[in-house]
Amino acid sequence: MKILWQREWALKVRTPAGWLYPVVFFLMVLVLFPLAAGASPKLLAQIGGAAVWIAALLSVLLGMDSLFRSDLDDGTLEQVVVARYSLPLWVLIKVAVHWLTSGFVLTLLSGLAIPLFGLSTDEASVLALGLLLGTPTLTLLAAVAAALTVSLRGSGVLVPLIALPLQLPVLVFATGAVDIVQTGGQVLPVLALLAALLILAVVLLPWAIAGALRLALAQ
Amino acid sequence: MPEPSQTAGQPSIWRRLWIWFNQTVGPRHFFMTFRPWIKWLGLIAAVLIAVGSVWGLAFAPPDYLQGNSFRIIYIHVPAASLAMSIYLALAVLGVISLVWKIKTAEWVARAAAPVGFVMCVLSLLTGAIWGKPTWGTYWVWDGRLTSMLILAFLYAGIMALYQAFENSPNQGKAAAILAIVGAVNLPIIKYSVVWWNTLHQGATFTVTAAPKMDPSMLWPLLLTFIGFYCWAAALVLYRTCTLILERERQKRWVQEWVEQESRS
Repeated sequence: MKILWQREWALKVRTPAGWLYPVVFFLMVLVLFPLAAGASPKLLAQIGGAAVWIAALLSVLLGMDSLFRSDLDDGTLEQVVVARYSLPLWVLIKVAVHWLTSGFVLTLLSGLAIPLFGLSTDEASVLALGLLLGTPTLTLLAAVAAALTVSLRGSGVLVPLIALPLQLPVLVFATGAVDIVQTGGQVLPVLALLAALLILAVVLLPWAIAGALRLALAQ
Repeated sequence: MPEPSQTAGQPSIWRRLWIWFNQTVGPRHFFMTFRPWIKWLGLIAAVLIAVGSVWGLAFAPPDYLQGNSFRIIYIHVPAASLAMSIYLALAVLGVISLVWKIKTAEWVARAAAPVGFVMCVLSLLTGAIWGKPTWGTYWVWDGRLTSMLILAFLYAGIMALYQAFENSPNQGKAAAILAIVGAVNLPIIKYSVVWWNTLHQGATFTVTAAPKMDPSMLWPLLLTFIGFYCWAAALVLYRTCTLILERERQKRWVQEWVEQESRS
């Protein structure tokens, strides 16, 4: 397992395009909001949480498309199956490394919402906590969509189309948490819900992803 | 040495049930068994929907609060219920096709997906039409409406997957996985009116208590409800039979059946 982890990590770090571009994309989408909605501080403070979340969601979807494709193409996937190594575990390692270089980075970068959108420290910390709990779930759900479409050429918009309906509850809860902080309520229940979704995703989705990958192998 | 049991040599009832099930889900048996059902289900559906709609639209008394605008319930409720039931069927059929590798289950799911999508969109549209005179707005972003919209997108994703894998023998399997993963949305829809404050009405019918709706309005609703379900069943069976004919067209029984039909 350590070897797999090291492999994924090495692959990820050595291709800057893999982890750098989604981060830049995140920042660019963040910038779109004040440009499109006008830079009034009051408005920006209201939509700050939502803007960060939408940017994070789109960035996760963008970076997910080719997660499994190179492994399918060069035969690594077949080797994992032939070696009878646990495919769900391999998937989990892969998604974890991917998250560490994308979703986690976005969580850290969400602190930029304080200067850019004028969020208070309370709101920003709830935002960051929500991102910490929510981005792994988003990544796993997008991985399901990526695994289902991995054998298709030019799947393009299909990955977001499949993944977005599944990811919407996470978005609703997480932005709801920021709203609650803004109106001064109890934020712990919503964060607990996000944590519950994360646990469900981590426990159940690797099996779905593995099933989808086996399907792609059988093509 | 123990005596041989009385039933040695004859399979148990469960074994026979399983054998019967496996035979019926074979494409040919499925086709031959269920094709006659289409006509009858369609007929029952037509009668029930006609009677229910006319009764509901013309003869049921107007609501004391909503006046006549409540009458769209006779389309809205069956359509919404069907949208959820068909999605549940997609998830169950997905499990059956993935675990037991029964091809017919994939085809029934493929046939049912567009029907469910149309029902979902219909319920959203009729709900919006109903909402305007009753709540003052076509749409509100509450739990029930948003989760039904998510259901519509899930259906769209499933249909997109079917389309993308059009030429593959594994067409149904990817969509089956998506249907199973997305089935978590169904309890959210069902309980959204319980969990969140919403404009949408709470549950009027439960299995355990007497319905809160007046019988003069309830009966036409039950009629259209069952009528819609029969109609959806007839549609799904018709589409499945067409799919069977298309996918099995190389087989001799299909060619014989087509010849027989064209002669009569």
